[in-house]
Amino acid sequence: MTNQEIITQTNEALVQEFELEGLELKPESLLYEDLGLDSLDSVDMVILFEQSFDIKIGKDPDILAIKTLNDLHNYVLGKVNARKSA
Amino acid sequence: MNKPASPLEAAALLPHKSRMCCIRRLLECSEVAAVAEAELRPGHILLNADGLMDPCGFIELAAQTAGAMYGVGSAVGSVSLAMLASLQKVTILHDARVNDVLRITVNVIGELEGILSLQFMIHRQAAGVADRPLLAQGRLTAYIPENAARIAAMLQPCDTETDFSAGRNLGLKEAVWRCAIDAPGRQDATQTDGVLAGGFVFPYDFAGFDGHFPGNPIVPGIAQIICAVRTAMGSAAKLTGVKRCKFLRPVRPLEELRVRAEVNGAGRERSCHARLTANGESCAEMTFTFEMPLV
Repeated sequence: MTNQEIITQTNEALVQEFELEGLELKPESLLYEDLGLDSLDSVDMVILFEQSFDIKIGKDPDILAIKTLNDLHNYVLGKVNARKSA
Repeated sequence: MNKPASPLEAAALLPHKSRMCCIRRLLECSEVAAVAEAELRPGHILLNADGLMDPCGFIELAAQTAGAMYGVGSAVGSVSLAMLASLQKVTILHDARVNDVLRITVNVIGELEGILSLQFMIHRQAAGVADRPLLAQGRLTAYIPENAARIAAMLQPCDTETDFSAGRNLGLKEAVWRCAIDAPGRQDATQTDGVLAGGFVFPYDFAGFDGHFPGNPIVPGIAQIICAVRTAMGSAAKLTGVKRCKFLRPVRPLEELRVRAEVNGAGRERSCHARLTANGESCAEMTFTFEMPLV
């Protein structure tokens, strides 16, 4: 899976799971303010990406620093690529 | 999963008391999973007048099982205060009815900053019958005791002594319907451009406050879902699932709960997106599916 494919799958999963149809997903989009997500969605997001990409996130403190869609892409890419190289 | 030495009575583990304590006992429990049992005896608050459990009842049973799981770890003399926060992918497959014994299983699948995510399954069990049909399943999130500040902000102690005797035989659905306020003739839903609107006010003696919670009356989450379902589909259709639902703010006695429900689809299977406000503030948002009756 290429990085672009991972980003596309991430976006598709977000749209489907959190009913974001009709919203434009830009890298600079803020997850809370622009996409309307909240802390309740965060826990679901962790589960969603763990299951979608077979990665372990758990209570990783780094996820608290994720603010934008681009941050999220980079985080997921890092986890997926770390798994591949493990 | 560890089995308690003997089944633990749910009333000792939950803040829910009286009729709103809907599960009977906890059969198995660990830090990440629990199994509870509920008996739908006549008069159970989740039963409707026709002897069927309201489909929303599955959600309350799952939420209380999760709460009881946390109650096991609480200090003697206190109970857990886990509060239902959201629902995802709830599917209702079959009815439950009077005298059924239900087995509710919850498993923790994630936790982040005091918010717990759990998967649940509810089966019907019968003595001597190995087959336990799956009746409902889904996911829920709850604020857990680690999120004490958030939970404390939702609670608002109330000194009012309330007499619930007038509603002691009412099922929760019927009790909710009696709280509809709009328009004469109890036509509580009005339709404008495909959007249905309804209004509800819950008096202090609303049956859903009977033990939810003692000294802290809060409209149960499933009562809010019942309001939305009632507004969107009236009395004849049947709830089949809750795709997503978030509870954003507690609803208290005498607050005006308004529902705006947008229904999609024209066939037998339909979906609805509903937004709820309490005294003008957003309190819940949900997307659910329902099935119209055969004509």
